[in-house]
Amino acid sequence: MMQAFRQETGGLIDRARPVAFSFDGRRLQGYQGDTLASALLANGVRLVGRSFKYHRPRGILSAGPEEPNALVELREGAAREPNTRATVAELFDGLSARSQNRFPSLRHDVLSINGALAPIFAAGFYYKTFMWPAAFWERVYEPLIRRAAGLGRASGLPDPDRYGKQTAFADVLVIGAGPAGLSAALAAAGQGGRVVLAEQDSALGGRLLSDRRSIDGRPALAWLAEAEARLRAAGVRILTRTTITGVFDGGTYAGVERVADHLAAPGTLPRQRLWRVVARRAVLATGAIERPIVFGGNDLPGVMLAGAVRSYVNRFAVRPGARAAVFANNDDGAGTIADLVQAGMEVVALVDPRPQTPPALRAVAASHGVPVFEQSTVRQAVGGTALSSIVLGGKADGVRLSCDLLAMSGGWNPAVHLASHHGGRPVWHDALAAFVPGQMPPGMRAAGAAAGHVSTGGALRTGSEAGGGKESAVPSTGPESDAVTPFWQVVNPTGKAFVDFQNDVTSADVALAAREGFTNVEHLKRYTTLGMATDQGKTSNVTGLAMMAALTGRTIAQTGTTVFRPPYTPVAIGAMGGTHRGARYRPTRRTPAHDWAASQGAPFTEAGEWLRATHFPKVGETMQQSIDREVRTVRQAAGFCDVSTLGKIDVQGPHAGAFLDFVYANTISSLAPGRARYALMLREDGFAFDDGTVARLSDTHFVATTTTGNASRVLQHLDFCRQMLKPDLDVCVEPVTDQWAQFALAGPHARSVLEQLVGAGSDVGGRSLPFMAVAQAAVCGVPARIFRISFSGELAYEIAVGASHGAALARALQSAGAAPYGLEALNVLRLEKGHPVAAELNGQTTAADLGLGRMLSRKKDFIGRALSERAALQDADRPALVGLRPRAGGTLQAGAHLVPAGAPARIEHDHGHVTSAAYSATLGCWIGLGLLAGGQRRIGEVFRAVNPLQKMETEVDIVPPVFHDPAGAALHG
Amino acid sequence: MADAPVSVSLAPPRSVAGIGAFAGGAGLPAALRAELGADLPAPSRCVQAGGVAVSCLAPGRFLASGGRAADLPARLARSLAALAAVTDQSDMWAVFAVSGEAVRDVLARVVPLDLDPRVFREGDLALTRAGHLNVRLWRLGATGYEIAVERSFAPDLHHALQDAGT
Repeated sequence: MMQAFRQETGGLIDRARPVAFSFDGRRLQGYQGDTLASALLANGVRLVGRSFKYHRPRGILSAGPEEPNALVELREGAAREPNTRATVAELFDGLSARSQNRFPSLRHDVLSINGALAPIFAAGFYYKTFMWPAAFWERVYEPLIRRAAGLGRASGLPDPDRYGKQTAFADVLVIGAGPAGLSAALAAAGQGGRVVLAEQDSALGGRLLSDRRSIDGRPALAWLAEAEARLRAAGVRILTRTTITGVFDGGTYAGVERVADHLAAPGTLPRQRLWRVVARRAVLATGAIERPIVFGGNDLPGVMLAGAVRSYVNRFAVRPGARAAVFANNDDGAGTIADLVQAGMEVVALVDPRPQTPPALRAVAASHGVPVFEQSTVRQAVGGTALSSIVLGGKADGVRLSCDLLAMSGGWNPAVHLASHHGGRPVWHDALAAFVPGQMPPGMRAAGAAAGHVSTGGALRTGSEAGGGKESAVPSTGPESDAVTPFWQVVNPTGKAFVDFQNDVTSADVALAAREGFTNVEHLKRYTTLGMATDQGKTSNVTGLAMMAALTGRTIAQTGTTVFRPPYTPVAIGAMGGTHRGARYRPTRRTPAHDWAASQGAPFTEAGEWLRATHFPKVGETMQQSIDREVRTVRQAAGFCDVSTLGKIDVQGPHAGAFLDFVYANTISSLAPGRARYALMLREDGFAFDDGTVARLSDTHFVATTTTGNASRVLQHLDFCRQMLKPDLDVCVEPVTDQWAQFALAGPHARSVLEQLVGAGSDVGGRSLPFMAVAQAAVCGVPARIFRISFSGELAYEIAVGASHGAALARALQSAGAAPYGLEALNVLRLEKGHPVAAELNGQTTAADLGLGRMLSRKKDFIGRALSERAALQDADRPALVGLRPRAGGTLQAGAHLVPAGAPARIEHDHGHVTSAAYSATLGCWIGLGLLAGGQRRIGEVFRAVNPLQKMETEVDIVPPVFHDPAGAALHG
Repeated sequence: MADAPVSVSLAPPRSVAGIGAFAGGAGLPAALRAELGADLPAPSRCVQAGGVAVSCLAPGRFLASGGRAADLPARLARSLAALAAVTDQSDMWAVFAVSGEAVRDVLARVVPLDLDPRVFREGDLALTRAGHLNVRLWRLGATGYEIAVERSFAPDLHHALQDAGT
């Protein structure tokens, strides 16, 4: 019969909307409003998983995010999510869930044999076993352990879902929408501030949804509905399904909203959204988490927290069993009995371990015909894969009662986790037998059960105060008792008594830790792994340290507690990454002529954030053939290359020249207007930082280029120099990289190509525009800057036009007879001329290393001057730039190390490395540059370039670092 | 909030000039008033005058933008010659106009700013970040904003704005 354990009426589920789902392949039914856990219980499914170490049968312990046992794999395929708490997963039509950590099935799990090997698997067993033989660790033990360990399995497929992020600002963030949080939000809204109310459940109300209480003489649910309406009318931003997971600096709180996890498929919605809430103040109204009691067999399916039993009975209209017993050290037992009886269940006992059971409680039990066993405990829960009976201890020692549900309550722990995210330690409160928040993050205060005020009346009152409201506005509630007497464990239990369910830590493990000297709570945690599972010990931390306190004769206050770090509950990595995934991990920048290059069939490579064309293949060409052709075209005719990615910086002002003299190693202020100069910038520590071209457009106007990769670093550096080091200089520095599309036009025919593109009145002849001159003229009818500079060593120009004209200029250059060339050919051409690029200007080389020592001015101070003169950087044996010519037609790889010809390839014979290498179409052989100890003093020697990773080596001659046209005759054509 | 329409469109190209005041540029406010009819705004504010918007990005740093035909950078370079550094930035920026009832919800998924209409008022602007991108955000009207990014980052910002729609 479907849903045999569902009550006929009642609950907050929507009986008009039945939902079909499956668990371990079995088709079941529930209702809209169910969680997976409540629907499973309604169908009588109580065995839900197998425990981590011992593979013991486990069921549903709680009704909330603190659940340690009922972890399932939710959904199928790429969307499969392991370790999902069934108590939080909202039921939707078509939901598919599977139990974890069992083989071959939940009912018959072979690894339950681990239970028999328990003495070996006690706490700390990793440190005492698997030691011998040593060789077995990597080949045998570790693979076995890896297969046996762990709970769920990740899908192994790329996450198919989308994740979003959003920021919200508020005067007050209220965390939790139970009676305390609602009260705080109402009060704060009443003060006129901006309020954000975050609730991890799908509905507001907290305990009001699960316990039958009255407020102002009406059912609490009526008050709840009205409170929600008032909050919405006041414009409070209400975020449901949103868990605040961390408290960060500056009043910033992280939250994770489960936007679409309750839907069959997200559609266009992000699956989850990461919230960043910036709030002046926060109210911690996170409630309290119920404590289990430690006794033999307390992990059996059918043993549940009493508050959870009330949730399933009242909110979800489920009968979690047929015959129930209640075992509680507090007066919550009364409400549990009443609710169970009203739901039509038989209650066979109230077991109270306290020295005295209050008369009011005895009366309630009597009125329902429930026997009370005072001064007694439950020594053992008995059953195979589910609870079938309990054996009592204490005054009723030996009494055996048959039941299939045991509602246990060891009291309540305020959920203080967020309060300690800034390092503040919770404080022990004797009367409450619980920890309450100690020093909280700035701006935070606690209210309700989170602050130790467990009753509804206390929650409403303290919530209102925390929200800034007045005492008089607080509604009244019925009488409630929050009296509790600490009771942590049944001593000498029969069978295993669990403290941390998820990590399978028993009372014997805690005792073992004490015997072995791990009595500090931080050691207890790490030695036993208590509190280290995905539930962060929500149902085990306090019990564990209370037990350790008893074992070591200390008070709990003396024993202390561990604290917590974000996140409060597990967060999918996808939620933290948001949209920054795959290709969008970081921005991708395209040059103005990108589409044109793509239309020419050019492949692209990543150069920092940019995409740059590598070459422009013609039909039937291999990549090397394209590169060779492009190199020959530039040396013999004319080619053009997109160099828009270079950083461009506009420097203007009365002191612009002085400023540039300060940041560059060579002198800039001596440039005449209309001239340009190669410039080198050092770091403060004397090493080479970046190089580029500086052009002077007028007395007070310069434009400087940087390398592609260093553009933003150089700009930051210049901003720092201007604002902090030279604030007295009157100069403005403005980045203009994206303003200009820029092309290098190079080759013996470059001028004739350029002449076709400039306006009639412009003269770009050799005398009007000599080498290193700059002019402003119209090119293809639009304003342009023409720099006669050369990276290739040929007669060349760089033409800059507004970016919107970039593609048109590329087409015009092509029509005028220049052939496009890409990054690869650009590299070969500069290599043939020995120009350093990032591979040589790598942050570890000085100007002198690169053969640029003479650029350092002796007539002025500049960044890096002082430290560039230190002894270590003057050492003649420093690796310095040389050229490399392979012998006998060999190839060369960048990264190969240079070892003298006759010496073995070992580190003590390592004299340097190859920085750049390529096939030179101009010379018909491979060439390279390298950094070699002693630099150009070694010209004429023979070395081996060795690449041990790929087992390649080549004999090379050390030659001057310029291979083509050393005199530079082509430049002045 | 799901389906309140928010429109995102790439603004047509416009003339843009960067203006950096020189230390000795005490005459800058007067020169700008003469040229454009606009008073220099306070930092993080934007004023409109005769089709040209003048924004103050930081003390001494301004941006003037107006219709294409205005030839703004050249005019300003001439009239502000010894008073400020003028740079033509007309091709440098991709500007997206974002507007609609739910515009602040969408923008809250893109930039980490307090967009409450009482805090980020009409005529305010901010230099901020959208993920890894440096962006500039202007509030032009009740529910009308412009967000600008350097041209080569435009596809990434467009993606971010689209993603922020839900």
